[in-house]
Amino acid sequence: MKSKIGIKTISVAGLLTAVAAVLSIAESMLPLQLAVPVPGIRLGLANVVTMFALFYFDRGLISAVVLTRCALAALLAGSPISFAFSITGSMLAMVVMLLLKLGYNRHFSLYGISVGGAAAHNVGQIAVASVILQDASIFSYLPVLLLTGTAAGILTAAAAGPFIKQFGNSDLLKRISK
Amino acid sequence: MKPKWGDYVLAGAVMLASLLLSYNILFAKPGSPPTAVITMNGEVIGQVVLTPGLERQIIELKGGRIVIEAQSGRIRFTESDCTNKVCINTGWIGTPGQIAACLPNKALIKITGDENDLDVVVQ
Repeated sequence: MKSKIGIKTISVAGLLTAVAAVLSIAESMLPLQLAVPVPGIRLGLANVVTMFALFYFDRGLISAVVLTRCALAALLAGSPISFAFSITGSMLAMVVMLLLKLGYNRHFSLYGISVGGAAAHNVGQIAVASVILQDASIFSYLPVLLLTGTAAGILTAAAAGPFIKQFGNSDLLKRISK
Repeated sequence: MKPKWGDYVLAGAVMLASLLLSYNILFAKPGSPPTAVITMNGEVIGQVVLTPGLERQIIELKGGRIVIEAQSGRIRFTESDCTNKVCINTGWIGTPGQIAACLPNKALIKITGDENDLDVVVQ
């Protein structure tokens, strides 16, 4: 049942990747760390794009968008270390969100999917940090990250909701969704 | 977009996990003076017992590119050549379980209780 990816799908995926990369870079300029001095605190705006992709793309294409976004953001405004953080966190978040999506509309709304994804991202980040520092005590940042991550997850779900609804009605995405 | 029951359960579970994970810090046993353990690249390079009334101490790492200040009962990063300065913004720490980390430099200060045995004491 494997079919070639259409041009429209490729262009929409490219568009989403670009949007996600810009969101990643833009939010890394926000001095959130001044408010909460914990490494790795962020809004997770790029997750809006992952959630969007969750509804219209298959797993392979979602992974491609996430991977390319992390690579682009790291190349343009990051470092190998920031890449390690974002790729681990984002991939873990994606897997958890794909699982939660199975219960979409029955057990979870976008809020649950987003909060679950944020928590997974935080766990991934801390795991990478503990490997870099070679010390597990960095896990003591996890409680704060989980709390701020939950708040950020609710925010990004609220932002993603209208987009998914609006674009879901458009012809373009109807045609690529199959 | 209406939240479903699973959303509340999930958010509640995350909050509960957060609370359980912070148990050690929230209910740290007072009494014995806390010890600050300084590590770089996973290796312990110094320990300071943060006794009350401790004289102000300056610890320099990486030839002065990272500066740590210890005082009576507390310790902090005061200088670092990293870009994000999260380590400095963390400010003073002094409760067992607390940490201050400088990820770009792979440097870490963690506060422990008195159960650990001292290998090195930075003077």
